[in-house]
Amino acid sequence: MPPLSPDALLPLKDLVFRILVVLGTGERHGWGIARSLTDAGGERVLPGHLYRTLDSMLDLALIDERDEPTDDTARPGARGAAPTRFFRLTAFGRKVAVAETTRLEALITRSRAAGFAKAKAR
Amino acid sequence: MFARALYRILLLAFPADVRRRRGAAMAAMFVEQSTELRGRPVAQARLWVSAVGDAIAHGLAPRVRMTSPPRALWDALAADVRYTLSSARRSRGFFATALITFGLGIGVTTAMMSAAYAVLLKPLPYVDPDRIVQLWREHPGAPAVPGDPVIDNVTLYAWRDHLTSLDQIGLFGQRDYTVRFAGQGGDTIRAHGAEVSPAIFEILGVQPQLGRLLVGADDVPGHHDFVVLSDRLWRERFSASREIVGQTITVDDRPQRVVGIAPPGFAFPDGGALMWTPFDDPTILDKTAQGGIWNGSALGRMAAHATLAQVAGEGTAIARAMPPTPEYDILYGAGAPVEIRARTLMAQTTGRVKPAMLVLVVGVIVVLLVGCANVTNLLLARGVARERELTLRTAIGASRGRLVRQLLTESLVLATGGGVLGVAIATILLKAAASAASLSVPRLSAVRMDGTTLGIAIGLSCVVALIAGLVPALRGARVDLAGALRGADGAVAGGFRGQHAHVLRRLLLAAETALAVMLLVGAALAGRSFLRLIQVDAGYTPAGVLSVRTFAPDSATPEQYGAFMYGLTERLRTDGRVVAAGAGNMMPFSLGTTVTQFQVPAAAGKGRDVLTRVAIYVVTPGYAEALSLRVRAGRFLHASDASAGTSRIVVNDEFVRQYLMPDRVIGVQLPPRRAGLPPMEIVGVVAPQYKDGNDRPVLPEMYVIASAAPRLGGNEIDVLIKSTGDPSALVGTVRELARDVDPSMVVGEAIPLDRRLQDSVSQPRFAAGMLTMFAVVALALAAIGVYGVLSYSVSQRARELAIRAALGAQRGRLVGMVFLEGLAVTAAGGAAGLAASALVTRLMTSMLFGVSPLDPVSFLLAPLALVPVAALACVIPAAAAARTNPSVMLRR
Repeated sequence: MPPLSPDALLPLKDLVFRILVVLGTGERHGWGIARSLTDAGGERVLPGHLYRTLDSMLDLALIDERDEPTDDTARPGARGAAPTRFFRLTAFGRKVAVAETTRLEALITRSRAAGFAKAKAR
Repeated sequence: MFARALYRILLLAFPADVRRRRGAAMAAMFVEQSTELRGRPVAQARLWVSAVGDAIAHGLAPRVRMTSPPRALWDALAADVRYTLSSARRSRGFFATALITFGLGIGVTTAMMSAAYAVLLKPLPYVDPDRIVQLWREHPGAPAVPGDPVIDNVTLYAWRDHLTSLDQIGLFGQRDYTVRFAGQGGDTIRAHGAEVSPAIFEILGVQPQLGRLLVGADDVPGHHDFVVLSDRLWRERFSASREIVGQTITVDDRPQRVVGIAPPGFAFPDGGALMWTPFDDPTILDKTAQGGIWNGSALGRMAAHATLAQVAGEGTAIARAMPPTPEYDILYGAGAPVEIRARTLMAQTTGRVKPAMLVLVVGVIVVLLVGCANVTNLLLARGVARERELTLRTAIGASRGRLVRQLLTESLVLATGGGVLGVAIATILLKAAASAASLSVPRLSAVRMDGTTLGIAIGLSCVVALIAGLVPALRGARVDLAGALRGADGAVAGGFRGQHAHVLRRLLLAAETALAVMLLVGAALAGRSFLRLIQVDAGYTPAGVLSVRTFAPDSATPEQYGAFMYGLTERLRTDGRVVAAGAGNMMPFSLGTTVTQFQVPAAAGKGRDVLTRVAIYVVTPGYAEALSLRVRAGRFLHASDASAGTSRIVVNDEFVRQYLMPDRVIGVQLPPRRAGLPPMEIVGVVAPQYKDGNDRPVLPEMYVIASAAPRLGGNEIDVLIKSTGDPSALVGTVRELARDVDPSMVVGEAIPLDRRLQDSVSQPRFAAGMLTMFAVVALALAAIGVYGVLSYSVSQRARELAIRAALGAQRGRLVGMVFLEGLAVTAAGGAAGLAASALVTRLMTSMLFGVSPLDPVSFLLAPLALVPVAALACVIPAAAAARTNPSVMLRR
């Protein structure tokens, strides 16, 4: 894929950005990403949706994956002998996440100026 | 794991390379998600439904764009559809039949599944409804407590202070209120509603749309005159005025302040609830009232990660830690140590109707399968006619896959057309169902044609297209080029002719017949069960009796009760249309059951001292006549019994059976119910009144005559009037006379007693009716199938039959030959159906009354219905066979 400028991908699809945020704190395998997404209070994501999004993020070089050979340490979600694949952000992915965050921050600032912010709890 | 295997099937929707790379991870993830919901079947079902959607949206959708160059695929599909439509124009009869069959099948099935979803699966309209549980108290082994399951306040308050497996717990009790409206024509209505502790609203997760709901501070004993109105009552009676909040309205002759309006659609505990007041536990004010024990229904919200077993265990432990008092045995019966039970609110709401609903869903799927089998047969028969065309296409170079796709498209077009027709039929059926819904099938009134229903219809159409179309499509693609182009006349193994196809058609017919017979047996069982139910001698005769519920204001004195009961019944008796009139505190199908405690000393009874409770009727003498109670021994009560030395009572057979010796009943004396009263003397025995319905257990009952100042245990007076003609004609008179005798009494519902009885059996009647309709439709479809296949067979063998006739075979023998062929198939199918029924009807046990699942009469009725229909279906083509004109045939 020819290198794109980060801004070319904005605005990001909701799930894509959420995955980038999750991976920002460290690499994860597929099930770990799903768990982190729901733990953060989001809606449950189903496998088809998740992996299709991950595949398209791979195509866009936002993330890359590596094989983790199975071993005996108990890993949540590891069942049977399927090799677990770990996903992590690429440098480009990081840049895109930063760009999207900047965009959203600008949006929030304008929204606050319009008086839409909830009153901050003391 | 089963779930993993099932999910692997869903994965087939995804492209092959995605399956290869991600399949294992996706399956593992789904299994994790499903395991997290273990123990919550409804949430799991919803997860599966979402997974199917996920597979379609992210598996199939990209595929359609990805396989062949998109343009080519779309063009090919369009060509197939165009071709199908043009051949539809040419074979109108076939397409019409197939369309109607599909339409009926899909329509009926969609309606039934929608209804089942609305009643059984749709989550209750509360926050996180799977975590709401109903709690109640049982003494195992003791005779059943009449009415809804309840728990006592002492246990509940103790539990409330030590909640672990529950976050919240609260009491409620259904009741009716008398609301008086001021202003011109101010009328009085009886509104159904419930008393609730404030925790109930929190458990349900309800937010008011105006004002507030009840809070703890409202629950001050004796001063809790606050009320929450339902959205419906607010709109209908208060014109949705926002000023109503904070004003007072007159409820039960007391001013009560409206504190808030519930959100639209909120109706707890049932659809008819219009208002809510704080729960009135009189033992809060007076700890000695009724021994300090008061009952109510209870709801709780389970803590996260708690299970039903934990909740029940915790409650049982607390209940057993309470000091035992004799009042518990009186209220709940003496039995094994107390148990507290819990089940989800959903199970409580749908429990009674679930078995019947499931049977109906299975029944309707059977009808759909019969329809599919019919269309498959039609497609197979038609396939023969198109054989030349298909062989031609193969010769020109169409691949097998191409042919299969063409034939599948045909059945898809048919199924789509059928689906559209089906949606129309389902809409009509659902409207009818919603308007005919009654309280015995909960939540049915909310069913309608919406997104879910549409989704069901689409899904069914696809499944149906696949089932009906697959076999003919696969057969059609198996074309024998050389043989067919040679014009060989049958006996080619493969394609639409030949042995295999012949056997297949017969097999389908036999299967259809078997399925139809199974439905017939099911319908016969349900029908006989319903008949048994209404033929039960319920201890009273409802025919010609008008039942009137009246309510006294809270301020009424016992003298007022007495004056009203005797005054009204005397005035009624002067009317020429009235045969008998009586009044009492309970009548058949009244909601609550008044009980009283009593003792049977060992000497009088079965050799053991008994202290327990019994349902008590306080009645005027005319009551027995009005209901035609069956007097088994002795006599019923007279007016003179009201002022005798002893307190005269009449008991029922069940009372005698449980507490007395059969030969020592009349004249037996029992200690008085309360100190200071004369002892009780039994003067008669009557048959039990099946007060709660013909299928509920009978209770021991006691009748006492109403004195001039009777204590009824409630403020409801039920008046029963036996009329010479139509009981409804008396309604106006009753209301007038009641107003004359005592205008402060509110006259509520006045309907014939027969109607109450019919309402109580409306669920079994609904089930029996639906199953009969399914059976009739399936039988008709099977008969059409038999007729179709036989006619086709006759036309195929026209040459053969003509030759036989020319060679001298009798008409009769030809007819007989065809006839027997048809009967053989139906007989085989019928026998298979009976055998399958014998295995399967045990699943219907919980919805049958007085009829065993292997009831011989029902099993006999099914073939009895099948034989004439099958015979008719065979006779017509057989007669056509007999009419074959040899010369015409041979010239062809």
